[in-house]
Amino acid sequence: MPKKSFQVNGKEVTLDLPNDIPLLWVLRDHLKLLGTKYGCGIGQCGVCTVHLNGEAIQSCLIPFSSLDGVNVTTIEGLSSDNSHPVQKAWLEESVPQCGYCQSGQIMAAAALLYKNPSATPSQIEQAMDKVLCRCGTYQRINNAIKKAQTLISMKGDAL
Amino acid sequence: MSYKISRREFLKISAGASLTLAISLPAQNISAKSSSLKNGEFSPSVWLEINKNNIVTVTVAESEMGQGVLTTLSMMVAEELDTKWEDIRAILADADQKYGDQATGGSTSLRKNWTRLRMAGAATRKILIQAAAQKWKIKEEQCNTNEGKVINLLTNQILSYGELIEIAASIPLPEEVFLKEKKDFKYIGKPIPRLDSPIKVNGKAKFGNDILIENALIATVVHPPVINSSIISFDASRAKKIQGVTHVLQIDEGIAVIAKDFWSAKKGAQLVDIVWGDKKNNKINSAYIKNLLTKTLTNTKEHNIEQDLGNADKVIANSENTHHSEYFLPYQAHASMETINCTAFVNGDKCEVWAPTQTPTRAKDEARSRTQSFFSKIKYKILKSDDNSITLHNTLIGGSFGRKLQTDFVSEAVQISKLIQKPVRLIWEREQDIKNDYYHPATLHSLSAALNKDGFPIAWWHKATGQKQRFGGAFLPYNIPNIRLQGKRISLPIKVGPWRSVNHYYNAFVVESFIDELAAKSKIDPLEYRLKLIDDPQFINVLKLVTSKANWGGKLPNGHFQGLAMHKGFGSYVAQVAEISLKDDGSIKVHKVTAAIDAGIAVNPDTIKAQMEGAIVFGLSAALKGKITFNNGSPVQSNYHDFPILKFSEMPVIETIIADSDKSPEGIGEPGVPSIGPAIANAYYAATGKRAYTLPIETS
Ligand code: FES
Ligand code: FES
Repeated sequence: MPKKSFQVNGKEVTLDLPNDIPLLWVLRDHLKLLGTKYGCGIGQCGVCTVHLNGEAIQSCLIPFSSLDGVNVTTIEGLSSDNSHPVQKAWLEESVPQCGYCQSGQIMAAAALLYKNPSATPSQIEQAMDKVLCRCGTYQRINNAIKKAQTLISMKGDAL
Repeated sequence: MSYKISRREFLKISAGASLTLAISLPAQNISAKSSSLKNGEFSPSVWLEINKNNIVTVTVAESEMGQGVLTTLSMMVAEELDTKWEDIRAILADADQKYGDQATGGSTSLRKNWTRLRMAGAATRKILIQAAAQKWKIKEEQCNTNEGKVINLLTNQILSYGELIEIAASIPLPEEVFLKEKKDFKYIGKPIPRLDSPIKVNGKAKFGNDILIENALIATVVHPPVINSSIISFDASRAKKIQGVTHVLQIDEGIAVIAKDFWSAKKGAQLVDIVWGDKKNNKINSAYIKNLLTKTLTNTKEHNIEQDLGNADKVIANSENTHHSEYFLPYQAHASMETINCTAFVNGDKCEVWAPTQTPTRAKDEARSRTQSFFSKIKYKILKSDDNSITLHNTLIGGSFGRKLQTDFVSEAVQISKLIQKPVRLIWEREQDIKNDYYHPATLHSLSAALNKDGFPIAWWHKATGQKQRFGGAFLPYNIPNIRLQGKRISLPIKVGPWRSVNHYYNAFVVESFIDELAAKSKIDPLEYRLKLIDDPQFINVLKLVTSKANWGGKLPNGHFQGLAMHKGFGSYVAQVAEISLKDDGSIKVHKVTAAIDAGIAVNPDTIKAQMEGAIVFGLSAALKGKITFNNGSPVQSNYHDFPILKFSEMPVIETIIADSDKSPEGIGEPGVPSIGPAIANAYYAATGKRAYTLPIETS
């Protein structure tokens, strides 16, 4: 089994695991970072979304073999005190219902706004279509993203 | 004026609501002996505890699956206890007889707890006042409370609840309390932010899948590909070659593959060679089911009559102006984002379970019987159901919609743990979750009506069939002199069960589509048509609220069309207007849904809005996106690619209007689902002149 070293939430980790194990299960079963969720395993639901080198990716599709030297951020690394503007906006808009998809939603939204703080509605749609929510929180997600954009531009909240 | 509920009256209310232990409990709790000081905390009833620092912990004996019950039930306690909202904590109750029968379903949490939790809060406040009065040596009437403190009205001295718990614990709970009137509510009626939001935006919320027990292994289960086929033999040698796989075992439901992590279990599961026998259900496919439904629907001699008012059949047979339609609704899956999971640790005849369950009581019973009787030829004598050998913790649920009312996953996890003698966390792959659901059953309906010369129905005849088919929600809100409802269930080995709004889903679709057909046939505006046929003021109110907000009959953007539907279910009245347009390929784009709901007193209006949004999205997925079909005795769909649900970009703007009410709170989790499907179908008719006789709507 190959050894790989990479960063998770700013910490260096070195693991020895089979090549094909997806990042999702590396995080959940081997690093005990349980905020990232499993929903489909085939890149269809996005609840497993994390940041890989700053990009939103579906962690169930990223094999361990490709992790050498990468930089991963999970919901635990976004902020643990809900001070990130996306989390703040999520709270202000009372987004979560069951909450199971919300780590994925928040990570997708945060990656979008890092890149493009003034993303247009169609850019928001494109990014957020990748994460499903069976509880139907989409309207609030949309409102929260707009609120986060305001927080970032008006108050200069750091992403 | 405050109204008074004496203990006797309360018992009466209790008996009227239900004879279960749960409902009569608060009466017992508000009797003399139950206040106590345990571990330095004051527990005046099973529902709440107060500690020295004024922290009030509310025990919620319902399941939290996203509907906000931790928050709304705590608001009821906080309201009558008169405490600071910031001091409220809510916890989920383990399964325990002292809470009565724990089952969350049918949108009953508010209705079940409205009186008992406010009573618990009010009784506690009363003894805290008595405690302060004792300490100050004044009369109770000379004290008042304010946000967690008792105030001496003579001296303005203040004692916090926390400072009074020791004295209060020695005071018997009162036999009667006053509950506040609506106008005096401080928390009830306010959009209080949910208590569970912070942990749901920082990843700390622990769902069933996130329970870490030391030395626990991970299991997944391979279920029969053909419904109910049995296992003749299996060969685990290839599976066991996967590094990390520790066991491959047969359990009642299939083959369990157990490993150090999920990925190894999943890979192992793909490599177990199983010889399945008994494939007699191979013949089941969608056409077979449709045939059986059609035959059953036509054979009216065997039908049960559910309602028979006047002579609907004769009036229709003799009338010149009649209308007839058939509707079919397919099987649907729950497809919660969290797949089925359960953690169990069987240790001798003891068992501890962590389950995302809507029915802690039944889940505990399942765990008990599996722990104590599995593989035992001798029928096991079930221990007293309040024995301490079984512990069942109810976890946060990552979506359920009825699925986790079943206990199959508890059975599996407990069997596995018992066999391997280690703690185990069972996780189903999404494919197992979709293919082994307890589906919402398909139904077939035949509707006939006779119309008078003004175009209004004088007879209505609804025949229906399906697995578990029921007429809840089919009883008409419309004044029609001749009504017959009849039908018969079909028997199939497909597992079916409750799914958000249950029978209201299909019955509202057919009733509200058919009434729209009749209005169209008579060339009368659908709103006017309905208003002529109803006299229930709550229905009239929601119809008026929703149509005026949605600008019904007014000018719409080019190419936009509206559809209207209404339904009463789970105690609440809902009316919805859907505004749609057609895309170039003829498919439906939903722009806006306006909904009005009368759910009695709105305990937390923001939660009602969220539940309406969720219910509408749930209904839209079923109206526009996915369904379950069968082929060769097996469900065809397996994951979100072939069982699609609504996506972000397909989300309409949803506006919810909450009707003002002084009545007790009613259901909010399910009432929004039934009327969205027909509202969309009716809008589609307005847009195309084509009637949708099935959901999802076939637009091509
Ligand atoms: S679990 Fe990765 S996309 Fe669904
Ligand atoms: S909040 Fe439940 S799935 Fe999104």
